[in-house]
Amino acid sequence: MAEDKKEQVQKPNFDNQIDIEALISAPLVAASKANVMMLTGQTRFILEYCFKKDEKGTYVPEIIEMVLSKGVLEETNNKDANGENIHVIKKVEMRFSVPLLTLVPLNSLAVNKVSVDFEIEVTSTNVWNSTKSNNSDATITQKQVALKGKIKSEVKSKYKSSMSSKLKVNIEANPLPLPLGLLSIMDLYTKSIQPLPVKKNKKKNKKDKTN
Amino acid sequence: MINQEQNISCPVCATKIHFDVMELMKGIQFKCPNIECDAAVGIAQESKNLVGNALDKFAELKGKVK
Repeated sequence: MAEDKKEQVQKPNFDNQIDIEALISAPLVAASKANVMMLTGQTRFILEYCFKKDEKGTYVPEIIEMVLSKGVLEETNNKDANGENIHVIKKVEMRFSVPLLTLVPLNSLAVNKVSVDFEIEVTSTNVWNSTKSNNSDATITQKQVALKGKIKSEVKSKYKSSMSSKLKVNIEANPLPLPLGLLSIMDLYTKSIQPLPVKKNKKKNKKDKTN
Repeated sequence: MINQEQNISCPVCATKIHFDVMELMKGIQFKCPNIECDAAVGIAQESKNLVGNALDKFAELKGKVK
C-alpha cells in the first residue's frame, strides 16, 4: 500500500478563544526557552571542547602549546675595531602552555529584550465571587474575573473573505559580560603564564648553614 | 558571540598582547606592545588541530543560535 505523503501545513488557529493569561505568557515562555537553549549550548561547548575529564571525573582544562619568539643579543668571538666582541641578534623560540579556553572568543549571549505586540479581542468574560475566611469571623468577598479572547483579526479586503491575525514577537539577543566564575578561571590561567623562579630547598639551606 | 577584547599576558613582561584567534590559526604571530620587550606569540604547529576543531564546533554552535 502506498502511503499518502501529503505535506500537512499547520496554520495557527487564532479563531478559538483562549485564556488571555496563556495568550500573553506563551511568547514569553518561548523566549525564555530559547535563552536556556543558548546558555546550555554554550556551557556544553565549554565542557566538551575546552575541558576534558580525567579518571577521577574532574574537569581538567585542555592545554595548548604556544610559541614565543624573541630577539636575544648573543656575543660572538669576532671582534670589532675597538677590540670588543661583536653582538648579533638571534631569534630564540620558547614554548609555553595556555588553556584552550583563553583562545576561544567566548561571550555570553542572552535574550535581554522581548516585546510582544498584538491586539486582543475579548470574546467572553467570566465574573464570580470568591469568599475567603480568616481566623476571625470576618469573611472577605472578592470578585474574580477571567477573560477569554483571541488575537484580533484584520479583514484584508472588502470583497474577499480573507482574514488574518497578527502576533508580532520581537526578541533581542545581546552579548553579556562573561560570568564571574569563567572570568576568574581565565584570569587564573592567564596569570599562570608568567614563569616563577624556582625556590631552593629550605632543608638543604639549613644543612648548609649548620655545616 | 564574539569577544572583542581577546588578549594574552606576555610571558616576558606581563603586558597584555591583543590577538585574533583566526589570524593566529593562519600562522600569524602577535607582537607584545611593550617596545622594550619585543616578544611575539603564535600557536605551535602541533596545537593547531585542537584549536581548529574547537573553533569549528564553536562556529557550528553559533550557526544553531542564529
